[in-house]
Amino acid sequence: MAVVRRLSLALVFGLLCTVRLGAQNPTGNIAGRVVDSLTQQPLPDVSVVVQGTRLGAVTQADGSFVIGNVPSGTQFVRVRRIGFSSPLATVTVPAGGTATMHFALERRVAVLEEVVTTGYGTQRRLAITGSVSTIEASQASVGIQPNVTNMIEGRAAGVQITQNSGDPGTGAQILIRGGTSISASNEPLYVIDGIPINNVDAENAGVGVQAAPALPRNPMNMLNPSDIQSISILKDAAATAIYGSRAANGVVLIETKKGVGGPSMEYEVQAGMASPRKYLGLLNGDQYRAFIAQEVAAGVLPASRPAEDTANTDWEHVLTRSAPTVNQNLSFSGGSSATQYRASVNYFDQQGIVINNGFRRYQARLNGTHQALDGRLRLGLNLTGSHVINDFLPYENTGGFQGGVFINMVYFNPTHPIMVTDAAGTRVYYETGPGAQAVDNPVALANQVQSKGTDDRTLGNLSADYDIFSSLTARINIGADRVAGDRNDYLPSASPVGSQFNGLAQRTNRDNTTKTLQTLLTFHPTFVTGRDFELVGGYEYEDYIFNEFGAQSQSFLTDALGYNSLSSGAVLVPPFSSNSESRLVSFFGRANASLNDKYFLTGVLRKDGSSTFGIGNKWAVFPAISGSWRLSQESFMRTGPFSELRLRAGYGKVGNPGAPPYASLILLSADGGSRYVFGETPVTGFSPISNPNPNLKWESTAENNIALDYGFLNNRFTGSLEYYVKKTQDLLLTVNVPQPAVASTRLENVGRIQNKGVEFSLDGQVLNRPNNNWTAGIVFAHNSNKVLDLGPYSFLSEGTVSGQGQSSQDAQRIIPGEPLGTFYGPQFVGVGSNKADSTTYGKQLFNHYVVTRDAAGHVTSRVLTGTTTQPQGDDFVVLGNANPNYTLGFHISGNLGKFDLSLLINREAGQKVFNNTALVYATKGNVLTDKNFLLSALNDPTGINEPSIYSSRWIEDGSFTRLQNVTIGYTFDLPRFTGTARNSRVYLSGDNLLLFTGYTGYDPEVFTSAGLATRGMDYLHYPRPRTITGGLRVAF
Amino acid sequence: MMTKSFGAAAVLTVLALAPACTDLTEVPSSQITPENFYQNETQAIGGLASVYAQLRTSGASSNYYETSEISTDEMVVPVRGQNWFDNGQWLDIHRQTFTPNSVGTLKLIDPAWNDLFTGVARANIVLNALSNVTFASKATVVAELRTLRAFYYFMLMDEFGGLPIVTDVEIKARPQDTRDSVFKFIESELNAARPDLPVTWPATMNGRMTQGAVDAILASLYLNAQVFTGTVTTTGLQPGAARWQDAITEADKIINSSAGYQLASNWRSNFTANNYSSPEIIMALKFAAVAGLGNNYLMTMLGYDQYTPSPWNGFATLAETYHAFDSTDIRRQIFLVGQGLNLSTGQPTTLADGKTPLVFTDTIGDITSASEGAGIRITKWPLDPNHVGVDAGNDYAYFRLAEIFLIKAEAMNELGDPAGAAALINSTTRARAFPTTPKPFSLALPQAAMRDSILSERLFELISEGKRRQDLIRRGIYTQPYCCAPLYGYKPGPIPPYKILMPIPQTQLETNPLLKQNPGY
Repeated sequence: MAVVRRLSLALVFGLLCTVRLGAQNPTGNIAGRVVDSLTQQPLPDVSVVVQGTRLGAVTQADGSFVIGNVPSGTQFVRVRRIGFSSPLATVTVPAGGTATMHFALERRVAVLEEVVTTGYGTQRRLAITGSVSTIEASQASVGIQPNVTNMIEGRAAGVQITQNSGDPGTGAQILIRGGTSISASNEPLYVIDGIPINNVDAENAGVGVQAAPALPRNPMNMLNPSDIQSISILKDAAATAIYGSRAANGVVLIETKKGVGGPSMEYEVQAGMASPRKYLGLLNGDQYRAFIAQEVAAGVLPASRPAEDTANTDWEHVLTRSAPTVNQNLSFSGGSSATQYRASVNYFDQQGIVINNGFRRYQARLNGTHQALDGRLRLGLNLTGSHVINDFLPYENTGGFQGGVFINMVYFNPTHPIMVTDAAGTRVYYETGPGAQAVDNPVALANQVQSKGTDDRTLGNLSADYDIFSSLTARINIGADRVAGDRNDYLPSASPVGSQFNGLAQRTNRDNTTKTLQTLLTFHPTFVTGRDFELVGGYEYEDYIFNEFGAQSQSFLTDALGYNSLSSGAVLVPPFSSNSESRLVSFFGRANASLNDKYFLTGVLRKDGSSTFGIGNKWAVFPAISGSWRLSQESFMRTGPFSELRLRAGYGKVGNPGAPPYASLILLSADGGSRYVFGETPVTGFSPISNPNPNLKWESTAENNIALDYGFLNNRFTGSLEYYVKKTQDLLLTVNVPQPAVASTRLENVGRIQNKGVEFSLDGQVLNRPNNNWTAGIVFAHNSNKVLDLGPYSFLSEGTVSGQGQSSQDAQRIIPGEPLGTFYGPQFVGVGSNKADSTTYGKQLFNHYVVTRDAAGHVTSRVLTGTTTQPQGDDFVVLGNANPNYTLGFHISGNLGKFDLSLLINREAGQKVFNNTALVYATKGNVLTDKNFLLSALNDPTGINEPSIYSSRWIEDGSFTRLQNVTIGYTFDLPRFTGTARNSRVYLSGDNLLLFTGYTGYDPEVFTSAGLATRGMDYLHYPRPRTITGGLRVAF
Repeated sequence: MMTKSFGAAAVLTVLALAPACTDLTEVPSSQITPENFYQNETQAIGGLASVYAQLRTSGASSNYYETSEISTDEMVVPVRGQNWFDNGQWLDIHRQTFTPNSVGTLKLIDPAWNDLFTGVARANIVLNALSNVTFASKATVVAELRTLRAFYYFMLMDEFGGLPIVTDVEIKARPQDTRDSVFKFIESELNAARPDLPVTWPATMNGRMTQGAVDAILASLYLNAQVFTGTVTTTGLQPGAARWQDAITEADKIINSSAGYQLASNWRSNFTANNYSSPEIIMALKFAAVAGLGNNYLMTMLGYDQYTPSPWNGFATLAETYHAFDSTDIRRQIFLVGQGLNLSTGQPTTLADGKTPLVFTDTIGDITSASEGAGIRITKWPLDPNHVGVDAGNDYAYFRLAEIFLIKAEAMNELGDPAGAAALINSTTRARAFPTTPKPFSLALPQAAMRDSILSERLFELISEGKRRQDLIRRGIYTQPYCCAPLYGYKPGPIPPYKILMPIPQTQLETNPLLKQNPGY
């Protein structure tokens, strides 16, 4: 197969090689200037292209351009800049002379003429037949932007972004048109400058403080948002199918800024201050003492209970702070007509609003382009190096009995002081000491436990485009991406969490290397006017290598060495290491055809092979077809209100590779579970650790999309309305296997999921006057998700409830007919208030159902029969789900003279959030073990001995409206310093200024696990801050 | 023009050659596959070790052990304020309210099913891989693997009744064989393996299977033969044939074994960290004070400050069970009553508040809202001074000689010799339990009364050793309310008699549609 492919390609090229490469004609020059029609200000960075040739230029800061070597005679010249009209004009070029052209471009909102990156090439927005959202970086780059995901939030319809928490540098969950997978990733594929990124956690999990470690940081932290030129989000299968097996969750294409025009330099500095937006509210020392006294007086607590301490510590306030962020960017670009470059450096330092943690980034980026052989050969280089330092807080977002900073913040008795003077006269952290080893001083934890990570990432690609002849271009793109992440932890013996080990140090190293090779052939013949045809064919090879190593030692004589001297520990834990490799090989092709700019048709075919699947299922084909019809070009539509009206429809099939390496094989490993003691000596055992599944194959998603793009009032208002249905089948699910088997589960292809939705967007030029120019836009999306089939399973349990006494409690179930993120549990009806009835007084009451079943076990009736204090299986029902009914983003931006303002509002409505924090901590029973609880429980009638029981009581409405960002700026020139200073700007920006919600926890926008089926669980999240930022940008 | 040609040639060469890379074969580098392993004696022993290692999921603190113990009057896990509610899983087991979909089934019984079958599957994989390999000790290794597999089936059959008997490595849905067939399979496998097993192992191999271990499993199998070969219906057990004489035969093989089994003079030495040297232990689960390889039984029982790391303060015994012990019985010393002490320092300890003294009370009161110190704790396996974290080195004996005497005595009583049974017990376990003022059973007890005495003696001798459920089922009282209702009657009645078998978890039925649910569920 491969050989045939190779031979046929060689044959094709052999023929092509004989084609004559063209003749020389007399030439002249075109020179001119481009301005904004509104302000008459010069427009830099405008592309000016001579149609039908490779000739072109980009305007300088003063709007001027020169194009040389233009064949003499009549030429068509197209002028393009994002956000403006793109007129086409004719000019007669004199042989040996210079023709002059001036353009005044009109402002456009979401212009249909813009050129959009669509994967392995670009297309005019007009010609795109799939569903693609674009974000212009200059619009989205407001406030403090640690990474690219922040820039997307609220700006693209159907793209739901949920930040993990307020932890600096934290990751985010991105759902494009709902989740397509239960156990495989729901993350979109990121493609930076044409190279797909292996978006993995750079670091190992830390030791954790008797709890799950902090959530991983965002892998996209390595990219500086201010280097980004534009972001295209491919949403439907017709658009994404060119990425085949990895495209089921959508594709985010990121183009970075390139050097254009003459020399320029830009410096930007931002300084921000973040502070907690809300506090949970805990009892203070006085309230706690009063409560205890009251309960003792009432005989609920024994009179023998020892007295409380005398301090009054608000642990929530002593652990939080106002924290600075500093961001500095310096970039410069320039070059000659043949060679252009852009270089930038970035320093980003964000401190957390909880003490002793933060995130720093040092990053440098270089790109260059070079033209040779009369422009026939174009070389490009992109190189990014970043060094990220993560300083982790030992907190947890799941877990139970003992925990890190946040559990102890809630629990730690407010009558305890932070520090005390010990017998030797030294100031030490107060600890309750033996007898209460489940609670630790949270301030001490935050300050004593060391947990640091560093990621070094080098990402680069080198591309070469060669015009074999004017209509056929060959491209090679070679990319390499290596990220080395270290995670270093030390639990000092001075801390209760480290004392049990006499100090514990762990160092782990993880190393991901991705190599990419793409070869691409683009055939774009010049037809008669009105017909366009383009054919792209390519091959892609990617190789992923993963390496991991870690070692731990315990029992140190001193805490002074931290994690830097493992050999000083008296107890050495066996080190671990692992290695895996996987490969992805693809062939793909795409054909675009159009007629009279009226009818457009695109077909895509991609064949992907992945090493991770079963022996007969490694290859799969992903097709797509889509088309559009510009009704506005038809004569019968000429008179209507629409200046633009286009109908689009598409169908495609895409995949989700989602299987780790070797998932189809049976593997033996010498893991801990196979060691045994013969005599008194542990013996290494080798046992199977995974069940084989030779039938393992791709998860695949088929999607239908139909859309209407419209513009009216001469495209002053534009937008789209889209409807889609996507069905995912052969879901990769870790399911039980029939016993006996060496493991209880294996990865199988089971079940189907459906997502259906509507998206709407409208952008408009509300006011369009010189010095008073305003645009506004709205994006709306509704998605409904449904599990269609789970194979043999009637349900799968999801959403482990966190907190003590909550083992074996799952909050959610995946049930056929219901959406992912469905909460399942008993219905709370109230608290027993009849003092005479000791069986119910102070206890929580739940609906009790009597359920009858037929012989096959199917429910035949369900009758509500009173209440129960101890809900059993039949009392559990569906309690709602965590998916919003709709998401809405609204933005305004504009300027009044030299002042500008932008504003972004997000809304999500109808989703349910499980307030796990309240379940466990809004319970007075914590005083039985001398722990604190949430203030909200103080007047709650629930008895002190009543355990925390998961129920509808803790499922809250999570609807919210957030004022995401407001920015006010002032633009000025600095001609005094240099002759060419332009567009310098000072601004003030506020993030997360206002939040309107009925939700009682920190923030209803919550995220739990690594992008899987569990949603809407809120357990002691790192609070999301409110941030005020001031910035200055100077450009020369 | 030359440059152009070179450029074109270079581009085209790469374009043409690149697609040659289409090989997608996987070769794992840090794990291996069975096809290239278990090729020699060392590797076979590595495989054997992994089958032994799975025993850790059947001994103290395992799902099998906890479902077995907590469903009897030996152990209860009361809800303690905000702790130990755990969605009601512990109450579900203790009250025997488990159904195919209840929380106790899904979270404790279902893992027990998986754990034990994983033992079977590991044995099958190694046995399968060894079929084409030869090495010196192969016959012994194979015999050990077959004994282990039979023992996993013994525990599975004990909880679930009929099961698929599987000796190949294929993963597929399979129907159950009857409980009687499983019984016969276990019996024949053990008898087939026995000749290839040694009588004893050298000290460095202590813990591996012996002929004595086979005899002990068989003695236990025959002791319960009426249950194990009987039929369970919604109305209870229709007993199978008794095998009392076979039980005596197997017991005598052990008593007279050249391995030299004898009762340890110090009863407690069967449970201490160095209990591997006890001459009484016939078959044990080996634990070591090494991370991940230890016995963490004490963690479930002790108060928060009785031990480091801080224990979990959960499990307790019932007051009636504690009070059933004679106050002079040395075996009662395993209980913690009254002021709690730190096991390492001997100092009095406090509740989690760090201030109030920890006092263990015999009564628990309401098990849905018990206090921190409620319930007497069992410390059958005492502190290992060298424990590492939660991991202690105390081995867990599946079979001790003491039980073999009790099995023999019970069979003798059933065969009409209560006096002989009493004499045997008096001279063995009771003699040891009352060293100063002996309290022997009367030799004049009629058979029925002797039955009760034997059941009690088994409780005193074997509490916390995972035997009580079998004993109560054998006597037909497993599903009855505990003796002193309503004072300690935590079991809401009436419990249907079919609960002597655990339900097959719904998750397993869905995975393997050929399985049939046990009667009544």
